[in-house]
Amino acid sequence: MASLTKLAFFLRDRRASALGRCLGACYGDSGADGFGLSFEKFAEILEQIARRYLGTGATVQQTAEFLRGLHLEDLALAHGCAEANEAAWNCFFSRYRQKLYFAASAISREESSARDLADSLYADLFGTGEDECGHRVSKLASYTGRGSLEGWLRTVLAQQYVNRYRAQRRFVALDEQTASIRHADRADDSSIAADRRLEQATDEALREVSADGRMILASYYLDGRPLAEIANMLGVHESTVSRRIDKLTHSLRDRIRRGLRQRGMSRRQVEEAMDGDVRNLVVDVRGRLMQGKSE
Amino acid sequence: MTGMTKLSRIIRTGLGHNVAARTDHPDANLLAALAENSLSGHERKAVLNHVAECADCRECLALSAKIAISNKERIPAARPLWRKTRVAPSWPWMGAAVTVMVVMSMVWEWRFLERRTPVVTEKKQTVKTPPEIAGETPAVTTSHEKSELPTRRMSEAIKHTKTRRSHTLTGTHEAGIEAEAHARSADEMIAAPQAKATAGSAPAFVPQPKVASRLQTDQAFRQMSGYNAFKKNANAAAAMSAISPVSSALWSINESPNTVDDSRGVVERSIDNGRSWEIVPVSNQVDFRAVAANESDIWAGGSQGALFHSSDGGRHWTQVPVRVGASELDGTIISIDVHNWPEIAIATSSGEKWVSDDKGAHWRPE
Repeated sequence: MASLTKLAFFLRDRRASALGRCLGACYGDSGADGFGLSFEKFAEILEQIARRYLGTGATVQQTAEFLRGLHLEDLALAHGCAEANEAAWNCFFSRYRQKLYFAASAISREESSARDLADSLYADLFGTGEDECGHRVSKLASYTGRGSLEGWLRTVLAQQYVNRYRAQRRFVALDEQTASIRHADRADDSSIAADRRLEQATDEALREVSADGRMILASYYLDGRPLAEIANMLGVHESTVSRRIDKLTHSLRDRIRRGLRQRGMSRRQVEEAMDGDVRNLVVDVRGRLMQGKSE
Repeated sequence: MTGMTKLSRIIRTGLGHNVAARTDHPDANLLAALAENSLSGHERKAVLNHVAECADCRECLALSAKIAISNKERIPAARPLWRKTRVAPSWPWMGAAVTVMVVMSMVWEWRFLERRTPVVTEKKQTVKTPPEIAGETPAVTTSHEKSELPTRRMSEAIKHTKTRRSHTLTGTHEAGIEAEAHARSADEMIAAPQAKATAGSAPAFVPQPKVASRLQTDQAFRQMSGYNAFKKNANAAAAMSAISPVSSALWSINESPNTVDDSRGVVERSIDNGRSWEIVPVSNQVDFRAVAANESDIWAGGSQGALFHSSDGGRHWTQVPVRVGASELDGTIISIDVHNWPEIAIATSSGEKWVSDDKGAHWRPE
């Protein structure tokens, strides 16, 4: 037992030394010393990030590979800013100040709201709140280096915009949905029964679609986004998205037909259900209402 | 209402079923990583699953991409969605690139090998002497015969040349010009040894044309057509007539190369049918006057009875002593004949003739 304990400690020490070498290499590559971050502080940040995404059961090799895949320079800059290092903030301003204002202008067409959005973000990045120890809490401390700092800033800006201004847009959408609710009340019982089987077959078919496929379909059919926008979201070419949507749509049609046949509908009934009068189709607004509730 | 429009509404309805109030939104780090294609495996799938059902996160993603475009940034890695880790290669372009590289390397190898190693023909061509001079052998002659024999031989050669001029096989105008230049050079060569003989001085070099057969003359003209093979020097005609009958690489002696030491003749070789010539380094102590080739066996001889042999097409040379017992050849070798291979016959300016019956292993005077 004593030898096993000794072996466990030995392996733990070996693991720690291997990880230490990896952390040392990451520290050297990041340039964190230029932003006032010591090796211990930077290593602590990296270990927290690794625990957050990999858990506690990851091997040294997995951890090292994960850490090497981070944007280390951006991570050092962000956490240097979070530690209120002057050199870090000078570097941050020189790189991202102009870009953030341009980004805000790109989202919000009005200049006043764009400036307001950018200033609000800057305040969060700088840190207006304090923790229990009285230290300023900067939003930059939450950056983990999974993506580039610039991409992270764009996403944070987009989230702030969505949080601020989406409510107005949802209100308009809700009026439209109200009209369609009245429309649905006129459906008769047979249509409801047919729609239920159609609804089940559709749900079953959609469950078989992959995550990225459902994301594309949701962006295209629910959000009404153009193909170019969806392509930019996923980092692929527009023609790729177009082909994907065609393929998915045809595949869904076949699966829904198959599902309807399996649920006892005849071929003629399937054709009617798929190609019948859309006014008889019950629109399930529950999902749309749930989207509004999530605000 | 078309089927596809109805289907669109069905899909839209179905997608709306799956929407629920989501609170477990991925943080900005994961969304940014997703937009930059930095996520892979189960992590990417989990984030996509959420984004597929959360309009807010889709909105964030779309806005982030919009900002990136407006800032004139390019979102990296246009990866197809169904490939998780690799960028889809463009197979036709890759195939074309590989084909081009293979062809270029093959061409390079071929040209490289051609320059390094002379082309060796498998078939040994036998020399057919023209009927007019049949029976004459390149024997050692006296001085007066020396002036007559090349004249006669050159005349015969030029007769063939002039005959060919009117109907060269290539039929090009350039070929006709080359034929005429060939004839003029031949005329000059005829005049030169005669003048030297008249002056009474021993000719430094009497070009002893190995009279080629009509077949070889035709071949030579075909090779020359379209290219000025006589730009090199006035001895080009002699060079053409000194072609070994048994090797497709052309060998020649250049009496006046443009080198530092202009007084010594050098051995030259052409592996592109006479378009270009290159000096083959054999020995810088010898004034070379004759060369002959039989496939990869090259023999070069010159001043002070120096005879050199290469068995690998001219890459490596060894000096071969021409002696038997106490008797040794010491004159300037002016002729090497390998027509009757493996017999080698060499002649010197002093009138000596030596013969070897076993490819140069042993020699005997004649």
